[in-house]
Parts: sequence; C-alpha cells; structure tokens
Amino acid sequence: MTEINPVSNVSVGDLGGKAAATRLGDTTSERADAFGDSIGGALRGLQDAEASADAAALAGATGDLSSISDYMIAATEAQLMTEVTVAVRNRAIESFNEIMRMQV
Amino acid sequence: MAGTFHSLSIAASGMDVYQKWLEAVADNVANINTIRATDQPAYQERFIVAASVEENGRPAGAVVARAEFGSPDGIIHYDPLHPLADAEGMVKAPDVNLSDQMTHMLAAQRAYQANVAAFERARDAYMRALEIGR
Amino acid sequence: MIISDLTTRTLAQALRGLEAQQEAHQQNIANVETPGYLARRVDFEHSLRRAMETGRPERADLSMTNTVDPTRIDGNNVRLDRELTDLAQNSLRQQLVTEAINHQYRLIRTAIGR
Repeated sequence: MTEINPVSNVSVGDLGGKAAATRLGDTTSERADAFGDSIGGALRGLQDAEASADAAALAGATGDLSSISDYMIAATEAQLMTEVTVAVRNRAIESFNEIMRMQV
Repeated sequence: MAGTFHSLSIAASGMDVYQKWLEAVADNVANINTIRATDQPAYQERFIVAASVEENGRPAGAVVARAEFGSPDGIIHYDPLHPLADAEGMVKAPDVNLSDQMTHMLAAQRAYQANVAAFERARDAYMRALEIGR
Repeated sequence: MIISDLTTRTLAQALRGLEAQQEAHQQNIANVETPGYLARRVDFEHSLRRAMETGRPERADLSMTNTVDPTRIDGNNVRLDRELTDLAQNSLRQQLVTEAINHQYRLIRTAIGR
C-alpha cells in the first residue's frame, strides 16, 4: 500500500492558516502561491487515496484481495477524500476571493 | 474459487467432502445385499477420510484425503438355491452393517448442512462488507 | 487508512479480527469429521483493546491458534453446535462494527455539509 497522508493535511484550518500567514504587504501573486501550495498538498493526499483504492480494486479483480472490508474502507475513504477536497476547495476559493476583494 | 471470497471456498470444500461421504454411504447401502461367489472378493464398504487444507499458512477448508475399504472377505453364509452358490451351497455377502451406515449418513448429513449454513453466513457477511460507505 | 482517528482505525482492525475469526469457524466446520483435527480459534479482542490503548490498533494480534479441548476417538475436537452459534454471533458483531464504521463516514459527510 502506498503511504497515505493523514486527513489533517487537508483540514480547512490548515488552508485558512496558510492564507492568513501571508502578510498584508505580500503581492497578490505571493498570496496566490501560498494558497496554491495548500491546494496542491490536498490534491496529493487525494491522489494517494485514489492510488490505494485503485491498487485494492486491482487486487480484487485478480483474486489477490484478502479482505473485502479493507478494499471497501479504502474505496470509501478515497470517495470521502474527493468530497472533502471539493468542499474545502470551494470554501477556500470563496475565502480567497474575499481576501482579494479586501485588498482593493 | 478465488482467494478473495475465502470463507466461501472453505465452506464449499466442506460441502464437497460430505457430499462424497454421502455418496459412499449410499453406495454401501445399495450394495448391502450384493451376493458374490465365494471365490470372489466381497463388495467392500467404502469410507471417506477427510483432511484439512492450508494454503500459504491460511486455512483453506477440507479435502478427501483418501478412500478406505472394508474387508474383501465378507460374510460367508449358506444359500444353496442362489445362482452363485458354490459346491457347498455357500455364498459371500458384504461385511456391511446397515445401522453403521445410518450413523455415518447422519454424521455426513449434519456436517453437510452445517457447511451449507456456514456458506450462507459467509456470503451474507461479504454482501454486507460491500455496503461499507454506502 | 487515510481517516486516521483512533476510533475508525480500531473499528477497521476489529473488522479484520472478526473476519479472521469467521475463517477459523469456517475451517472448523469444514473439518468437523477430519481425523486428528484440532479446532482453531482467533482471540483478538484482548490484544486489540491493549493495542488501542497504546494508540496503535494495527498491532493487535489476529493469529489463529489450536484449541486444547478434549478430543473424540478420532482425535477431532470440533463441536459443531458451538461453531455454528459462534459463527452466528460473529456475523452479528461484524454487522455492528460495519455500522459503526459507516457512522464515522456519515459524520464526516455531515461535517462537510453533504
């Protein structure tokens, strides 16, 4: 199984924290970079989850899977990761836009 | 069956073994009156011997290890009118006891049904596992 | 596992333990008439509780051991009625744990507003 990042890597608090850690004097592009890093991390966590779910599915198809519940848990968590990432991204984009508007 | 639904193949192997037991008992009972001439071997009672199986350290059910046979000597008795009777009017009957066969049959039937129940439990458990996250 | 909180990890490990137990019961039932066969069992609950207390439920011991119950003449010690009732109970416990795991997932979905 591939290494999986704990879900804390994609908590909303972290993303908010990273965006807030940029100082007022930062340019728009610097803030965008910090924000992009957070989203990138979240997406990598999601990729890990999908990779492990894919590996488990493949094992199931070739008859190597030893535990159905392990596969279903991996698949569900990949699904949840997608949902969490999408929700976090949507809210993060909203906050980002708000911050951008504040600058004007 | 694939290793994925492992419990199913264990239960299925059990069903297979006891099915063969039941067939052996049925054979024995069907031949309980098979008369042979005294210079022939008698019908020999067939026993099924089971053995457990492991695959890569994991339990993999049971198999028929071998069949064992009763004595070919049979029981010689006097039946002068029988077409196969020898010069002294003796014939050879199988050394098969009906009540023993009934005991074996009951044991095999009980074991078979238990494996059927176990198969169904395993199937239900797998189906529920497939519901995780729904 | 991605969801790394202790409860979910412990539940997942409990499910693995119950599956191993189920296999032991299945093996015993398939071998109820095998000469010399000793019933196998999996005792994971105690090990899981201790592993959970140290925060590492994955360390629980799920291995199968032979029982030392008295044997019959053919050397077999499987008690069929006991195996069947244990199997039924195991089924129910699996259902319970599965439902608890699903509950964790539903909580997460609720938290993200779905």
